[in-house]
Amino acid sequence: MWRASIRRAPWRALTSALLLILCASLFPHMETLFRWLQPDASQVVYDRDSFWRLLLSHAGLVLLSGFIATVVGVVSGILVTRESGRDFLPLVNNIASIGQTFPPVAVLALAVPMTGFGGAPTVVALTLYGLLPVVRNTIAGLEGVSGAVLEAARGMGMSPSQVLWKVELPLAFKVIMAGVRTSVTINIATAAIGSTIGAKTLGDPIVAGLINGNTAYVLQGAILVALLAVAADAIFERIESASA
Amino acid sequence: MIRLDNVSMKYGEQYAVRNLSLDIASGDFCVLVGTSGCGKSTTLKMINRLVEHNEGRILINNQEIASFEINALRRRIGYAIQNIGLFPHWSVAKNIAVVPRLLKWDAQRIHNRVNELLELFALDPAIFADKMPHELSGGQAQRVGVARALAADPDILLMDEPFGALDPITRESLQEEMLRIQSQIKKTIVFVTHDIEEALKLATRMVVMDAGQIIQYDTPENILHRPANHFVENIIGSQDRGLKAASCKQVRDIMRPDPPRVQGAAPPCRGSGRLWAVDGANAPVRLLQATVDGDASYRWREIDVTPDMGLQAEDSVKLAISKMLWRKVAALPVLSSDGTLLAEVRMADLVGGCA
Repeated sequence: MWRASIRRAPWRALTSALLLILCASLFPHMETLFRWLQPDASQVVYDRDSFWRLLLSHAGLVLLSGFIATVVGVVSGILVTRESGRDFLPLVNNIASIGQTFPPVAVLALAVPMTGFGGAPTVVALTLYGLLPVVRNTIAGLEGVSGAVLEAARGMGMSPSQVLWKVELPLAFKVIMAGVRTSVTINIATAAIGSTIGAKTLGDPIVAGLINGNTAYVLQGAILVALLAVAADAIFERIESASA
Repeated sequence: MIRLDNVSMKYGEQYAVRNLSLDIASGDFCVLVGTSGCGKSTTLKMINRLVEHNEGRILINNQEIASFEINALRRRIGYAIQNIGLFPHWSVAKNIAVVPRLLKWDAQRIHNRVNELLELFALDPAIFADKMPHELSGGQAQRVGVARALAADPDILLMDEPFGALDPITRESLQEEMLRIQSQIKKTIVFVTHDIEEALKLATRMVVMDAGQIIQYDTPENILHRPANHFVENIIGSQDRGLKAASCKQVRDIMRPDPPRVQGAAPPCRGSGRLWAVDGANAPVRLLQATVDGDASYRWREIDVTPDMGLQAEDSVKLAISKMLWRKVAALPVLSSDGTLLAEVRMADLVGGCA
């Protein structure tokens, strides 16, 4: 199974990325198909923005928040597993667990009063939401390194930073990456909700479609969001298997 | 070489080690033995400062270890532990090379040293250098663990129950290997175990510990024959002391070289005592034991020498006794590495001439 996933992964990443590009470019030319789906609407292809712009803006928001969440999450995960930061470990662990139970819409709504409407509150919300799986997996990955290995590393004369960089992080890498993967794929879906507070995302056609009762719009947005999530997930799988 | 001078260490209010003084000479194989919680592991770890002592001084070559930079100190001391702790993401070669790399040796020197160590532990570099730790058996992994501890050629080797997690057969073969390697490298070894037989077998000096203090510090012989008190007597087990003494003695200590032998199969017509019948290559074939028949005439009792009867000079006397009991013979051949008759071991010598 482990072998099979390595062989399948490049294929999956490539096809899902190709499909995504294909759909984003061809949706505007597929009026006949969408007309069949939604015969009564005056407009069946979303045209207030190009799908490409929405896709890039959506991906941009996820990448930015994902980057911040990964850096902050990994660093805080490292800090609370050091000797000096141990006291904060239960606290951070609890915050990470509780935070995960908040619905993303609530986080978005809470971010608006602080930053106004648009892309900024979406990045804040996505970062906060994406932080949790990263922190949790970083802690789990570092705690999972066997005590014997750490004792050997210290006893052999590695400095604390050498132990971290040469032993702990390489051994925890897979688990940390799994956290980043979860965080990013969840946030690709969550980012679509950013449209409700004025961010430019692939959620725009979905929201517009829901308001106007236009299934074709909803479908166009939803397919692109789903393909983006699948492509991102496949790319992470590639990274993980390449590091194994 | 290593001197612990009135050293104490406490966890909270509880002393793990109390007022302990110990001198370990260069080249000694010093084994700390005692029940769990007696402070033997703590004592070991104070030497490379994985545990810091609270009181007293620890000196290596008359220099206090507190004065060394901590990681420089540890790189000078080999360290092997029970759970081995090989780095699972590195190959065997890279694992062994850890300390040399920390010391910034050049690549060629590291490569040579790794191969030298693999060969010392009878692991073929062509096969094992690129293996990953999870591909090794327990015994192989611990060989690599000890090789890694020796990589930068430290003067001191600390071993914390290194063979404790291995099955008895692997443990025994690693003990033998440790003795063979120590006879070549002559390090100062501090070794912790709770297995008294292991201690007796490996040690040149033994430290029996209880409740954070040294009860007796002596040679294995003296510990067996002159236990300091009831506690030591209990630890060594008073009933089978004879067998334990035999297990820490080697066949070479009691064997008689060049035993009487005859070429070919045909025994002489009259004989007395004992003879070894050897073949053309001087390998023993039969043991000939003179016996007196009912009519007072001599007769040879012939016992075929099977491969399992042969001893090596470095085997333990305990093994010799076991083989004698099993094969019901009063003498065993000691063979050289090519199978020729080198010496014999006699039951009479084991019991001081009373058999």
